Amino acid sequence: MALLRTVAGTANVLDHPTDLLVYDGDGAADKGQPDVVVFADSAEQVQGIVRIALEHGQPVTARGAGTGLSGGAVTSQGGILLITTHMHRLLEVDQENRTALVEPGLVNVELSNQVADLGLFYAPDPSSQKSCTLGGNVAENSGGPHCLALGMTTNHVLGLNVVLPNGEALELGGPTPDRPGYDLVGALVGSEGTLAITTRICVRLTRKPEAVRTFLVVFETIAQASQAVSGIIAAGMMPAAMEMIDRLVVQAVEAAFHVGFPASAGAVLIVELDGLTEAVEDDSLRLRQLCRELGAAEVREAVEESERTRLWQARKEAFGALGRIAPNYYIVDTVVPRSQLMNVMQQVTATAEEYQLQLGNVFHAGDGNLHPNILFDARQPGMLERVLECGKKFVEICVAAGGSLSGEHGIGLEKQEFMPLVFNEDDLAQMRRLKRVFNPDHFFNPCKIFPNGHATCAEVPRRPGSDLAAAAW
Amino acid sequence: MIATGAHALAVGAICPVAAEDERPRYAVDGQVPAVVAFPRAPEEVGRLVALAGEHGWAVTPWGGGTHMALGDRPRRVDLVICTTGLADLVEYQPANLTCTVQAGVRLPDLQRVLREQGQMLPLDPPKPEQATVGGLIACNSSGPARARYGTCRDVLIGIQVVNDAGTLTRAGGRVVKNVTGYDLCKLYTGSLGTLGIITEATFKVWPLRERESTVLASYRELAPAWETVRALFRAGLPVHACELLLPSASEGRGYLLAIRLGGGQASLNRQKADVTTICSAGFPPQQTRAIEIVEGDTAPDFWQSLASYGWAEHDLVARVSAPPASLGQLLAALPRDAIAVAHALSGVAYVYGLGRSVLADVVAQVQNACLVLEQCSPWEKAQGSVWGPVGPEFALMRRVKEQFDPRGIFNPGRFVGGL
Repeated sequence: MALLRTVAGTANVLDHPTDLLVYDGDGAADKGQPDVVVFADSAEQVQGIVRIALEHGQPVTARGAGTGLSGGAVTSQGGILLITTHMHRLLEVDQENRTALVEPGLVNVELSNQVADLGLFYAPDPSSQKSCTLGGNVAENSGGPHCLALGMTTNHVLGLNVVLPNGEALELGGPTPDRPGYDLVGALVGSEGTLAITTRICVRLTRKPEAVRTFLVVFETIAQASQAVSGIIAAGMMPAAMEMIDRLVVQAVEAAFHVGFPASAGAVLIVELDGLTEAVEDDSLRLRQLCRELGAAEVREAVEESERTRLWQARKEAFGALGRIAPNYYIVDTVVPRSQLMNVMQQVTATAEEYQLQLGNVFHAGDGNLHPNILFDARQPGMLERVLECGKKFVEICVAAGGSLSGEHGIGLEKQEFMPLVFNEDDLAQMRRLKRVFNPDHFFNPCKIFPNGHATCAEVPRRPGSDLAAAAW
Repeated sequence: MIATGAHALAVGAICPVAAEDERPRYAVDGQVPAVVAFPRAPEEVGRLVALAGEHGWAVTPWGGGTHMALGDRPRRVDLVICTTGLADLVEYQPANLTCTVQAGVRLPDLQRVLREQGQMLPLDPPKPEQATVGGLIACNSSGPARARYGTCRDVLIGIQVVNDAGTLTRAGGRVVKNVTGYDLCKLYTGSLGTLGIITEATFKVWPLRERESTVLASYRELAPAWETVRALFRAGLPVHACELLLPSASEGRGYLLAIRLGGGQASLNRQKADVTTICSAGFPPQQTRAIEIVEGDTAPDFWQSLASYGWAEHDLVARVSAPPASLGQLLAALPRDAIAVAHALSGVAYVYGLGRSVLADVVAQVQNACLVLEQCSPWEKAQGSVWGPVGPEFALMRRVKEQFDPRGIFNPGRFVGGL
């Protein structure tokens, strides 16, 4: 402990039980208390902390803002929780290559804000973008509404500086394309902090589109809205974003934000088109026509910038608005082929009814990325178990329809036991090989991603006899 | 090492093998394989690899054979596994814009199927007629379209690979957005068959351009041509491709910029007008404007031939790359008569007919630039690795190879740092 304080500074090391309580989880249901929390200020400190931990056989779990939704930043085995939020500088903007060098603790939207004057932005925009960090985004390969046309985090990360579990610091990738060798940056993005800790990121910036038009398309039923999403994609349109909000969430959002959603709507789509003025004009006409053909009750356009901002605020903060309906919610992140949306939504709705659970849907429909939200009161006995069981059913429905476990939140602790639904033992063994390359002793973020029953996880990196609380260190 | 007789019989019990006189056609850097196998299913690839593992044979996967010159001289070539028999279209969901195909499917065959539904795979590598999907991924081949759509890593969403034990393994999936387990698709892309044999791939596909036009502009000097490229970059138009041909490659048209545009009629008209203005502004006062616009129907042939430019004619094909804004420096550092075509917005150029001694000096002048000899003579290969020197990250790459191919049976010696 004294060593940690020497490296990171006394104020940046927390080990009082009440302090530790604050850091026992992220945005997911699973909890796990760290033995000590350390805020790092620099890559050198990260390396120093990792080396101390290594010497004392303590696992290290990296954490950004803790907004993750799969338990990626939960210290399932105790040890050190290394927080990178103090490393939040935008180090360099290279306008000529349209790239930026950032520290991992920089908040997602802050990057876009800081380069806005240059006519640029950072494309991946998770709903939590006002608080989540870019380091966390790299770990989870985060998505967001605008990933439909522009791709996920992995499509926007060019290089990484990392500290490896052996304490080594390394720079990987960079702005030069087609570098010889294995794409280690590609392998690290989305590895959920189980392979390396990011200390610096080289990201691609995107030029702001010259025209943006945002539409609110109203449907009588969620089935019609789902069908419309498939229809728009099948017609060869590539909107910048296409988000679905169902009746329950529409009502909650309306009560919270007064965006003018029609209370009678069965579901609404927020569809955004961007690009050249002429292209957006053409696409708008096409979209209106398609929506009418696909049974929309109404197509409204957010004409003023303020309307557009409100619409997106309503979308991104919809989860918060759900607090008006029930004290707790459990958001399930799954993904299906877009042609299966209607079929899957029907099954998901029926399943929630079967479990007598209230469901609110707000999701990235254009990608087929569902987020059915189960609304409940955790104080009711047996409720959480029922909710989690229902969530598992949702995942099974999606997998049966050709989908996958997670579109953007990751596996973490939440879905590790579901991995066999999509990957057999051989597939997982191949992934474990990658883990052995970087983190053979499970020293970083142990007991995540792979199915191992984390209650009885065998990945316990502690040395026998070592104890973080011991005065010796 | 395979002793042909008995082992060839064992291979022949799994799938068809090449006749004795056919084998030399499958030589890699002059090394003729003892057996060439033509599996008809991923499971047969698995059995072949398992057999190879048992006997310690070196296995070289072979797709369309378009990039067999890529890489260092292999330490051994015992068994060539030719994947062209894996030619099934596994699943195509036009409404989901995803397509799953076996690795031996040839690119034009896939594009034909997609085109019928108004879609395409936005990868346009050199020699596309022969290229197979598996080879495309293993070599991470790309072409002019990368300016708009990126490369393999941006469209590959799922993969099936036969590992070193001969087991079929999967990663990714068939959905466009997926964070489920490690993204091994990225690791396999560009790994040149050194980690396993790709047997199936799922791609994110794109709608076809409604209409297209190509703007051609010729400049007498590099500087104004390069300035025009930068102006195009800053303008942020949705350019589908932007190639810069140096005079020795442009058949007397100087420094030729070829800019491919696509979209609906109104958008296309606007783009043509803007690009014409930008290109015109680039001409120095003493030079007359030399701009030509080629409309949709004839341009695709131009682009197809451009994608394969120089590969058949030149023994030496080198790829140089740098951060996109520095590519101009690289081009300026080339000898004035160099034959080169650049993916001008992407920071990548292909140089034909020049060897390492010249190009290493060129690359040394530009920060963070890379040089790879994609096609070269045995003599060049004997002088040193075609991939260039390894960096500090090589230790990790070696560990990747050791983990995924501990016995070193896949393409030994051909990849970076002798992996």
